[in-house]
Amino acid sequence: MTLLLEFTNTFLLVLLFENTLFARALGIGRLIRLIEHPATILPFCGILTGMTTVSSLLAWALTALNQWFPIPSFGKPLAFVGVMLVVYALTCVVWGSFFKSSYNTYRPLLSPAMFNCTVLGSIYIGTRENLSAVSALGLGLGTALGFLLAVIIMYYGQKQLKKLDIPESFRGLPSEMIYIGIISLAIYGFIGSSILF
Amino acid sequence: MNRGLRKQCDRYRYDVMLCCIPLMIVGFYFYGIRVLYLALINCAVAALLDLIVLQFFMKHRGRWEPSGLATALIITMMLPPTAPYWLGPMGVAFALLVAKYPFGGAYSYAFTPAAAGMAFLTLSFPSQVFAYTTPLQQLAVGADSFPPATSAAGALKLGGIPSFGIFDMFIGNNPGALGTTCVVVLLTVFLYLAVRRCVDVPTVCIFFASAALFALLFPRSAAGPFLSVVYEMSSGYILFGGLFLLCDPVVLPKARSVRYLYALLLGPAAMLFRYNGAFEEGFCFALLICQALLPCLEALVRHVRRQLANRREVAAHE
Amino acid sequence: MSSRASRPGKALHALKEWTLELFSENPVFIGGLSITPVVVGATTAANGLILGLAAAFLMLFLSGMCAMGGMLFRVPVQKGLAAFVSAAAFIPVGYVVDTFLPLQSVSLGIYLPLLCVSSIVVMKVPHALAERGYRKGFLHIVQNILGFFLCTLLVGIVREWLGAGTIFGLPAPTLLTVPSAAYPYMGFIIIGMLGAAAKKAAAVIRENELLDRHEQIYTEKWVDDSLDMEQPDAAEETSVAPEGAVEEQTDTAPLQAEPSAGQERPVNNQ
Repeated sequence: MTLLLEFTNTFLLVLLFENTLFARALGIGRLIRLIEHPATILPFCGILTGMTTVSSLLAWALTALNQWFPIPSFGKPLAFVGVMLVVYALTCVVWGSFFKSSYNTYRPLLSPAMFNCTVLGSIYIGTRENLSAVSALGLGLGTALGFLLAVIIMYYGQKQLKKLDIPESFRGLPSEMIYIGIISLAIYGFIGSSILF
Repeated sequence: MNRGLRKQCDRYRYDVMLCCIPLMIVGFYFYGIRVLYLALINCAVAALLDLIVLQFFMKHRGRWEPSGLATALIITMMLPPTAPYWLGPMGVAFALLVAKYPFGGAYSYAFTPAAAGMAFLTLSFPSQVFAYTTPLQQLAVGADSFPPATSAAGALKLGGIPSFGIFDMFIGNNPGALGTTCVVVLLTVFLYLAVRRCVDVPTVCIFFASAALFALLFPRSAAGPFLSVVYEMSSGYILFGGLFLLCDPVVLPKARSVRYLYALLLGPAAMLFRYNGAFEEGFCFALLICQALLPCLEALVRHVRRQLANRREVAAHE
Repeated sequence: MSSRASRPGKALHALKEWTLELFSENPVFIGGLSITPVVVGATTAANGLILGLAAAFLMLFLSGMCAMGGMLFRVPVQKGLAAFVSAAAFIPVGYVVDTFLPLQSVSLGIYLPLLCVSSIVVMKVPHALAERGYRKGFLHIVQNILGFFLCTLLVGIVREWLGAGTIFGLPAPTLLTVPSAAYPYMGFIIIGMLGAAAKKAAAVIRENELLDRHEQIYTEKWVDDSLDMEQPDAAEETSVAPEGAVEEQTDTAPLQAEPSAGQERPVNNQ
């Protein structure tokens, strides 16, 4: 019961209030490209969910070893990217072997879904805050689903923006950035200044 | 936006400005002439910004309209009487330059500019935005500091009970923002706006009801659930926001079902922001989030309607 | 005559275009690449400078490695390998920042190391080299480096000025400060505003250039027409001149229609 509560707390916090995109700005560039190709949203986010969850768990394991094999802060990106590469390679091998047709369809999405700020960011946040394995799992899942929630909000938001009479110089990315900025402002009204970067 | 809708928007704004007058009179009675200076300065800044932007950047977008002044007055009403003179203009500038003009101007924006301006001020200057003082004192026009007092929303946030009676809360004789404390005047304004059809009465009622239900089910104060509802509904921006911000005709959805869903979502969201948020009042933040969710709600309602229509068609064929 | 606008003129024009593209095709403001570190990391001018320099180092290192290991980096796994190489290149960057700039290291947080997997590094660099070749690709990468650097520096300067009334720690004239300028929401809004300003500036410059160009063509044509009217025998001399004359004849041909063709034949025969 305690474990479930711990998982749910971390999951909901990261999903809603410390949302990957609106509170921490992780994955903005990827979001902008995804909303232009809506057919790829669900498959990309599905792959991202798997990647962040497994990577968070592996990184938690790596940090648990940190007390015996300390990694200096400037070496952490290399260690974590190494973890991401391992997960990526395993995913390619396992998926490619057992579900070849779906693997061939979604292969172009694999490397963008793996090597991005969202995955590395969630690994960093999890290891920095010394989370337990259950919380790391909640963090990984919450990060990816928070990203999906943000993509859905921005996808429909972008459609709404297209209906508005936006001045020429603000059309496209500038108005989308201001739109995301206002949503981020609203989220900070809940969490205040308590978030750590 | 077609001419009919533009006229509707302008009418709404003129009525909102008219409704701010009795609230300002109440504010003047409780706090003195400082209130009027605050309103004048904010309106002057809004008019100047409108003039500059329309003249130099959006010349082809035509004539002046009252949205800037309406935004300035709404922001004034949500600020405390002790607000420094620079606070309102900052909020007005943010509202117009970030939330209004980049999205197209007076008849085309995605978020209510006044709510965005207040959210910005709350996050940036919380100590000034919630610096209330006891009413029935003539505040010195040039003074910087005033004796502090805790508002009803502030007392509830701390887990206590407001120290003034229900009657004082109804007539506005309690510390709070300029235009949000006098429940009697706000209810009269509601009647006026309802008769003029500037607010969608079912939407406003659903919002009030959902907020009240949340307060009833999860009372914060030890005074009991019913008193808790009275305190929660008459403190903070709930009443004021429901009348002046919720029914912004540019943002309010056209479909009734979406409006009702939006109001139903906003009530608990506003209360959640109050209960668990970083500040004693979070209505503006909750409104911005619900407005961001509006396109998703519209898509959801369209999808459900299509499914229902398909099923009816299939049933009709059978 | 106009086509002999000479190589220095063409080079100058190319340089002008290249510089204009720093704004009109800025990788952050317009392309939407690597917005994350800019929005959260570039909260002061110093942070913006560090981010820009770090990205420049990573991109140059990666482009060098891509050029050397050309074939290897064309396989689909290039993004992963690019991330690994840039994470390795980050080691000296991280060491220098942690050792000599501890305050900035803390304020940048996780957003400096995130450059290793940001799209401008792992996506732009291999793509630019693969699609444009090494020389043009390298120029394009340098353009992106400058564009990103410009962006992080500008955003950092504006946020530090708004938030603390200073630039690189030195007091700057300001009316009021906004304490929440360091929050991500302000980063998004500033990027949006600067992006709109960049688009508008580029559009105005291009419009002026186009107007100048039209004016130039119109003036040249007017001058040539006047010359032709003053010296009717000038047409015989143009048979000796190279392509310029031919081009002018083709320019005027549609206006003079059939008769000019008849008039030109004796010139060509001569």
